[in-house]
Amino acid sequence: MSNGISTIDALVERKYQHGFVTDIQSDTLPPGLSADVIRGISARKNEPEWLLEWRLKAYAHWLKMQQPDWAHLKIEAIDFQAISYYSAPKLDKDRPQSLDEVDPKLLETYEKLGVPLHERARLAGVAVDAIFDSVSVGTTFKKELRKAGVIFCSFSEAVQEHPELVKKYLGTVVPQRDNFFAALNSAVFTDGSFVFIPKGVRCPMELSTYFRINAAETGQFERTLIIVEEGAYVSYLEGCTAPMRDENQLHAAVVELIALDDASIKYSTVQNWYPGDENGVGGIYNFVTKRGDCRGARSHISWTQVETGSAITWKYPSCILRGDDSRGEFYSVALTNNYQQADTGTKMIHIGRNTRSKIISKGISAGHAQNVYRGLVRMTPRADNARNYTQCDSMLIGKNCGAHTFPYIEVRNPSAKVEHEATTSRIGEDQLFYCLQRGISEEDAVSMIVDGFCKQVFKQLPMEFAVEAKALLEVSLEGAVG
Amino acid sequence: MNEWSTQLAAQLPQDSGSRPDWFRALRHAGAEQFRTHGLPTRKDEAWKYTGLAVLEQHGTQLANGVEATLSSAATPLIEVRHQIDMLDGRMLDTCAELPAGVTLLSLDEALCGGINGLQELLELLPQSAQKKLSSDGFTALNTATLGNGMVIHVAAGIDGGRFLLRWSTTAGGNTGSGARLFNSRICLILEAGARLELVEQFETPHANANTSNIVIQADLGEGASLHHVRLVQEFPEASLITRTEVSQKTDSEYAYYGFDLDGGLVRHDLHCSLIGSAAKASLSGVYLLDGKRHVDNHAKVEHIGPDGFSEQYFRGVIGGSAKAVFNTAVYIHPGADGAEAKQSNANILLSKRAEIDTKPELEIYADEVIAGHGATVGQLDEQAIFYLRSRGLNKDQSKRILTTAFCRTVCDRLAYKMSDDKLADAISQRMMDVMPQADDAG
Amino acid sequence: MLKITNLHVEVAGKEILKGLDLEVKAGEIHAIMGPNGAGKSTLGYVLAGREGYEVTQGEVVFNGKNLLEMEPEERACEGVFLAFQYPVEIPGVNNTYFLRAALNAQRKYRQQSELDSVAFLRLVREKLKILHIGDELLHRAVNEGFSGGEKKRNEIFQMAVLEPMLAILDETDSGLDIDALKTVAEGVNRLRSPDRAMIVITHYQRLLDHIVPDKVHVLADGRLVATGGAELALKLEEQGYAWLEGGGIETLGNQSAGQAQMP
Repeated sequence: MSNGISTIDALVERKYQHGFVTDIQSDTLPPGLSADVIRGISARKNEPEWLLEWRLKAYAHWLKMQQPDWAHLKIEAIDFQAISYYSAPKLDKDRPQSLDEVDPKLLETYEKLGVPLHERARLAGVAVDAIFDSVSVGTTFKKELRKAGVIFCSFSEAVQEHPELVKKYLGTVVPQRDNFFAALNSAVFTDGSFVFIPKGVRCPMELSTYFRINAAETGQFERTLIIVEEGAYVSYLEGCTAPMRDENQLHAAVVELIALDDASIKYSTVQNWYPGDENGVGGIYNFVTKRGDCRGARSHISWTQVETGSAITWKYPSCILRGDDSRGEFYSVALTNNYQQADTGTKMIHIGRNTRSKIISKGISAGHAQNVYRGLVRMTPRADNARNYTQCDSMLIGKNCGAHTFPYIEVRNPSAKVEHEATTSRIGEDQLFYCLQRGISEEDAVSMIVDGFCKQVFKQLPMEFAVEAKALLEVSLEGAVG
Repeated sequence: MNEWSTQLAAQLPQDSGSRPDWFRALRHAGAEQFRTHGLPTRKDEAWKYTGLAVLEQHGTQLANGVEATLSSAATPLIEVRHQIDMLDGRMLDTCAELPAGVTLLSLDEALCGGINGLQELLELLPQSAQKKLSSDGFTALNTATLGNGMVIHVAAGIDGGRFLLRWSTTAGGNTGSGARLFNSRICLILEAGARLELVEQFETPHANANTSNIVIQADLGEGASLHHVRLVQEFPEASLITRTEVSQKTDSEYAYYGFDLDGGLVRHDLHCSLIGSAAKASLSGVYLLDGKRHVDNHAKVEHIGPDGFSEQYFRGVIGGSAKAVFNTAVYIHPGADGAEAKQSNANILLSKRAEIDTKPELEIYADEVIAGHGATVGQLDEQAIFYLRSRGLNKDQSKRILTTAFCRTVCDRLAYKMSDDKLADAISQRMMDVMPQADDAG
Repeated sequence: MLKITNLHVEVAGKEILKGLDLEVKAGEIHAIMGPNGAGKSTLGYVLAGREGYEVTQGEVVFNGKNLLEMEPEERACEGVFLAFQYPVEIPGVNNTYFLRAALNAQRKYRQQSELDSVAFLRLVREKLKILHIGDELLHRAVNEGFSGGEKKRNEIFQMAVLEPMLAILDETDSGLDIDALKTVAEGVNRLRSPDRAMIVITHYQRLLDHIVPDKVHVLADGRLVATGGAELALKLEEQGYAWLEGGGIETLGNQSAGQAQMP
């Protein structure tokens, strides 16, 4: 894995190439949702009949469902008919032709976050060909992965090249009817990632690294499927710390993870979607269904997330601990400032024996924001000797924000053990003054205290992201104290 | 609204003209709400884990207003000077020699006037046709049938002493027809600096499948103090639905000790509003269940004024095929700065078919808050069991001692706060007697 | 009173006692010393009947009965008492209440009448006096908030009340300063009697200055490798346990074939 970074730097210094999105017709469908629109999407992607049927079935379910309103969120009504469900990728001629044409404020943010120079252009959406020539970073990686037997491609590509795998696993962790947004996603998903790690293979690189250089244009309705076979391992990171803008307001992704016997999946997310301005106008709604199925014995799935963006975040990465001795973990830092709202947490469902789950959730609330942890720990009757430990901490900065905790604990087995603890802390005047009196600036003091608060979670991130996540938190909290 | 609720709604009494207008308007509002929404169902978040099918299965009808006489009553939990019997929700006789400054009347008599603050108190419970605003169907039903009950008023600075309220219902058949639903309302008004101890004993001495729907409203003036002990030991076919609403002014103190030891379906909604500054609410309890029993405790403390203090400390032991539901909530309003709130809930499951659903909630909108909660579900300490066995006590004895000790901590709090070892011991003994046993596997 | 023959014990799949033989008669005090990890505490736990200690071979006869077949509480009622190295805290269980329940359970087993609280309190106060222990511990929960020394004293107090036939003291001196040690030792000495046997398990010799044993055994690597009088303990103190391995004393498989004598 040490070859990862230096190789990229060398290559990218010179060149950048399109990502792995397959070529498609470039027209955009008008706004509106109907069975015809779905047929249109499926046709443009050349999908096989069974997948179109699958989409249509989901659509039929969705029509009968109602948008949930039980979350602690104030959401303006979403007009599903006003969304365009298929848009072509931006043509090069419509993009900025160089960094000079990019909004300087955006560049400033990249600077603060420590985003490497060679990435800024891509992130700003600068037309690729204008800057780099045609050596493909993507191709190099693909060769390495192929050697190991790893399949890592876009979801659309997987449908074309590995339909049997997709058919076998799609919807087995998040069924179409699971919830309103999952049903919508199942009907209209555009693209996402597909990962398959065969038996005994330890994926030779952090798949995050690959993504940083070559992410597809992020879609509204992403669909990701990761399958790790017996004894295999993968570490996957999505998102990036740089603020991502998008004309589309609603993002409803579905991520399904499957771990067979002795398999291990580490899934990290750093999310900084546009949160809206200081007055809460605009901003992205991020409604995601993420679930991992520890299908095999001794399997292990770990979710790590740093959420600082979006106007509204609604997601509960969960683990179904089916296999005996399987383990699930959830580490989260969720930061809300200004008028952001987050309702996030996890569900750990213990089915197998001796299963273990660990939940560490850190919520930071500032400005006028609302930050909610919502969790479910369920010990089913067969879950002999299962164990859960949950630590749920909130930090409030200022008088006008809110932090809330709603942990559901349902136990039906007498040998299971559940331990749940929650604390609330604040950055108080006296703490700040103490730091100031020792010569530390207020900004740095806030950073130190917040960093200490989040340490347990940052430790779980792939190293380069831990550093960026720290910087991201600092930037997001600017102006929150005092 | 389901059919059974509709049936019950049809049984609501017509209104008699002899009561004040405001009172009739209140009953009417309750009736309207009940007719619109009926009783809570499992679709309501607050009733998610507790269904009411058993009430329907017993063919429960609204009480028909027949005034029964007390044939037998349970042994009083403790000896007190002031003991009142409530039969079918109706106060039987008043007690003699009330201390000066204490007024005790049946709700009926109290309505004739003379009790300061009674009307305001009764009108506090929001009755609304809007489902989201209404407290819940049982409260609506209670308001719609308002009439039976009791009022205690303690004047400023007076120590009202201790009252034992012994509740029972008239045997109305074990299953099938005859099961009745009785409503009752208790109002406690404590003026500034007043003190009162209320001990409630829910124990009908004969088998019955009745349902009691009781609402207690307590209004604590500045610096007032109310100690509230509740022992529930009803029959496994009987149901007890209660709501205790406490509103607290500055510096007031409310301490609650609830012991749910028997009864088929027991549901308690305890709600404290710390309105004045520096108010204190201390809620503790034990729930022991086995067989097919179902106990649901919902406790909520709202910090509204600044510098309030609240703690919630509950212990549960669940065996058999019983199901315990436990929800503590702390809601800290904007402006309730300096609030300190603690919640602690520990549970032991003893059998494979037992279930516990617990949810410690926290909503914080203020600054300078110290809040924390802990909830655990686990087993008895193996080391401790071995220690006892190595001294000659057998497995069952050892487990019984340890589960009792687990719950005894709540009695200890009572003994300490109320300086009363006798009461704590009496309760502790009862707990020992009904302590659920582990499965052989446990 | 106690005869252990070829005892093999496994803990978590690992063999800790590898063929231990020991015979203890009434009125005797035997000390068992040994390096850490030798299996000293294991011996105590196995005799008391703790779960997780699997006897793979051998037998233990106590007063003519098969001890290993009995449940822990049976063994206690038959007269076995283990003073724990780390007595567990049991909040919420009053010390007096607990001890009375235990004593009465044992009396019931022996078909003696149970003591009511008045008689029990009288008995208890007597014992406290003999042991020179104050009565504060009567009001507290079992070991809750007790210092190390207080916990050990509580164990000895329990022993005094329950009057066992065989008392096993597992590292009773660990964690105690010299004064606490003297107090505890004094208590133990007062409980010596011709009808009672004691096994004192200890790592350090100093306890044996105060509780003088009749026989000293050395437990190393799962077996008793040496036996001697009180002087053996002093020799160990001087030379350390490494002395055992350096030759001089041979490991014996069967104790009855003869004890290794001190050079």
